[in-house]
Amino acid sequence: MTPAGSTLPVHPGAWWVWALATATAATLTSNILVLALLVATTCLVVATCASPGDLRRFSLYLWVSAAVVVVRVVFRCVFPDSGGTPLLTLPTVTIGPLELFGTLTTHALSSAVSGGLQLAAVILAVGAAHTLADVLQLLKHAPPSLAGLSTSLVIAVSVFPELARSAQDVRSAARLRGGRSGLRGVVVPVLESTMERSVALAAAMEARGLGASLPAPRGLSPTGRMMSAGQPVCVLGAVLCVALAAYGLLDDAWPVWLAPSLAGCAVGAGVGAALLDRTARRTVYRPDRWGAGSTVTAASGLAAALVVTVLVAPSVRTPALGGGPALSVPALLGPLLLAVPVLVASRRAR
Amino acid sequence: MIELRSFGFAYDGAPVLFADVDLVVGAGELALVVGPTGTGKSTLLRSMNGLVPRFTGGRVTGEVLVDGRSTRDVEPRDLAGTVGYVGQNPALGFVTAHVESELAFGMEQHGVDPRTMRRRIEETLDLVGIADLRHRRLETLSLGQQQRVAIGAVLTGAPRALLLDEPTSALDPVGAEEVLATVGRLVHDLGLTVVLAEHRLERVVPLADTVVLLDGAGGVSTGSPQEILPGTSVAPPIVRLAVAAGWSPVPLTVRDARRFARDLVPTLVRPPEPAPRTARRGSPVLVAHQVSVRYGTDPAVDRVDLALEAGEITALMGRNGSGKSSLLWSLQGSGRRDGGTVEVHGVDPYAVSPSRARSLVGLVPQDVTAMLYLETVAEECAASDSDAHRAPGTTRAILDSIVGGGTGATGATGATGVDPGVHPRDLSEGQRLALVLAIVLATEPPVLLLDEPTRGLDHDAKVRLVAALRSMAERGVAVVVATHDVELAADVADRVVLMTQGEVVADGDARPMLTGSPGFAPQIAKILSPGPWMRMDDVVVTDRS
Repeated sequence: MTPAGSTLPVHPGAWWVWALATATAATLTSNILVLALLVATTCLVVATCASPGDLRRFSLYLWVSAAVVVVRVVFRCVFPDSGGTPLLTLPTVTIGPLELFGTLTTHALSSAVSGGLQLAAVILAVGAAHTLADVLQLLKHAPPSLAGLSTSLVIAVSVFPELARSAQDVRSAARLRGGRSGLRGVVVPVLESTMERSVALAAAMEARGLGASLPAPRGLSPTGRMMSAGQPVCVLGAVLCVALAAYGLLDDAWPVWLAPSLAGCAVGAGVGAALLDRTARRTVYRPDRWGAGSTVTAASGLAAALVVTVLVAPSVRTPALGGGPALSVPALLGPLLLAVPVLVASRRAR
Repeated sequence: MIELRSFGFAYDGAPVLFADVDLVVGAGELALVVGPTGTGKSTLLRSMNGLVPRFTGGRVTGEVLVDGRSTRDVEPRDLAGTVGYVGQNPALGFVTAHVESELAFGMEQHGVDPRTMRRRIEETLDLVGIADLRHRRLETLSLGQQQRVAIGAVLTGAPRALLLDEPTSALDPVGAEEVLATVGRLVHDLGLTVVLAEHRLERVVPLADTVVLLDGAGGVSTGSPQEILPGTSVAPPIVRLAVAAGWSPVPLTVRDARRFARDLVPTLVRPPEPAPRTARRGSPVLVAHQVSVRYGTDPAVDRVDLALEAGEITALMGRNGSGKSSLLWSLQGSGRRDGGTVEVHGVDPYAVSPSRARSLVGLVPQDVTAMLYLETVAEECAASDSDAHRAPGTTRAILDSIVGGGTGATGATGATGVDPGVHPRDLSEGQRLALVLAIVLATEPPVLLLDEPTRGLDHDAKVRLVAALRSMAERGVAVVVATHDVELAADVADRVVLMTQGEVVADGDARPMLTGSPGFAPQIAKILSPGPWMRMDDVVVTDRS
């Protein structure tokens, strides 16, 4: 690790790799202890690496994931499951074919907690990535051929909070009239101001010369021109594939293999677009540089995921419902590997 | 640099806005476009880079040449390298989340070489004086800072002319000074051509080389500020005073005017002293005790005590973001309140239903359009009558009394009488404010709060607003106007409350408060300082004619 490399801030891409690896590790284990370790290290890394202003954003994810665990447990209390030793007996309520409350068993409780923790760990991993690395910052690094897409995403993301604020303003203005203007009194002004805002934004972008016709680079051969024309087709194809894949994931009627293969097609089309591109003229202002710290961060995430999935014995990774959660050395080591970015951060601070 | 040749324009289905305008703005000049609202200041400005008619529609005659190119042939986006444009509300034009990325955005899209980009951004940050804000998020900036970021974002494209639409109208005096100082630097140091539309002329006039006056009847007159401004409704107080006192040549800066004022001051009669407030004090209508409002951990309003008397007009002043709006909203009962008590005739407006609260305290919000949602003025008035449980026609009658109530109105824009069939969004700013004021007043609340009512109002509309507020105060309403328009405060207020960082730092009679403060002194007070005069009515010039 060179001193110069270690002083660079960690690249947003590295944080997303780290977070996705954490999420993968969490989905592959149902061991409560391993999951708890994963959650704890995620929180530790966020607490040490995020700037104090961003921490508030993370607290929202903490609340949501806590709510997920609580809801899972409450759900298990209301809709009991058999197996294991009884822990708590509540009076049973019978509504038609449904039997509510009753005996809460150890199996039911542990499966509820592990399921909740699994989801919580995934939510926290995504939240950590969002807290540590701005999505907008990451979009800057999209390949130039996808510049059109990433630009519209950047604008959409930055305009969206404005919409929420305008709805808030209109609601409080409605209170000033006595608060009885109903749905119309909220929807019409919000839509009107959104329209106005969009036209103003379009005019401002026009006046700032965004999307101005740029002279094509000289010396472009006819085949080059044709390939450039194919680029938008590839981009559109990639977007279509992603949309269909997302739909396929949610719809059980679709064959299982379809979503991954569509995702593969999307990646292929994206790569094709990047290769075909000859005219992209977009540059990046002060791009984040990938230093040693970024490599360490990304590698620690991948290594942790690898340890949890490969080195941890299946009996520990997905313990049987009856026995208590066991812990082995690799199972302990895997989640701890995730905390390596803390060392990078402390090195930078010095 | 910018040339209009027998230019004329009319929106579709509307009367001709201007016809046969010939205008030349030379390179390195600062031209000031002035005129009452609705005369087309923004339209004229936006036609100089082709946004009018390409974004608005309408019929154009004649031609606009920018650096020799006609806006007929060139798209506005292709003119961006020549002429930059910053709209009335710069926040609407922001496309990213941070200051630095906002400045870089346009250049990134154009594929400017990263090294050039880095250099240009550093230069721009220094030029507009926002280097210390470079990592800040845009929504955390004050309005004046946002305005300067917007100017900076346009400047990174290296334009040779800049069009600014009311850059200071929403700003507090200090923020306005900062923006105008930036504009002055661009004109003086860079030789940039600037066309600036504005109706608060006090500060900007000394910078102007030429003034373009739109008279609202399609005519345009151009000349130096001294030739054009005297005698017009848009003239700033300094020009009015100079005309009244017969000073020649008309001074444009306070410094020049004070030289003339040395002879004038001894001849002036001191304005009558009002009785001290302690003697006038009756029983307060609204009593606020230790009111606090917090957003997150930052206090927006910090333990404020305030008592409002019937028939008294209070100007609530302070920098942008000093907590004026938060205080008004929390007094009305609709906004947050994290501590303290508010009582209007013994009732807390926070604890009762919204319709009861509005009959105790009326609030005219800063963005009045948020309160309007129907298609015509007549429908809005009818809805207001039924909301307020009043006889049909109540709101309309109040509206007519406000709009027709001006004393010194010249009526040049035909603002008297609001057409009941027109859409509220098509009203002029002054008429729309009057409509919302009428809706708020339908329940006859004993306390009326107004949040920045003068944004976008021209002189005549302000005169009407002042008259309406005075007549309300005479009927025993306690009025609070949150404003940073010091001239309005001087015209209307009996009392001034000054807020800083959520705290009330000063509270007292308007005259000593305004004439004594360096930041919030009206122009006449600055010229005649250290005297007690602060508005044109005070100054009775006797030695003339």
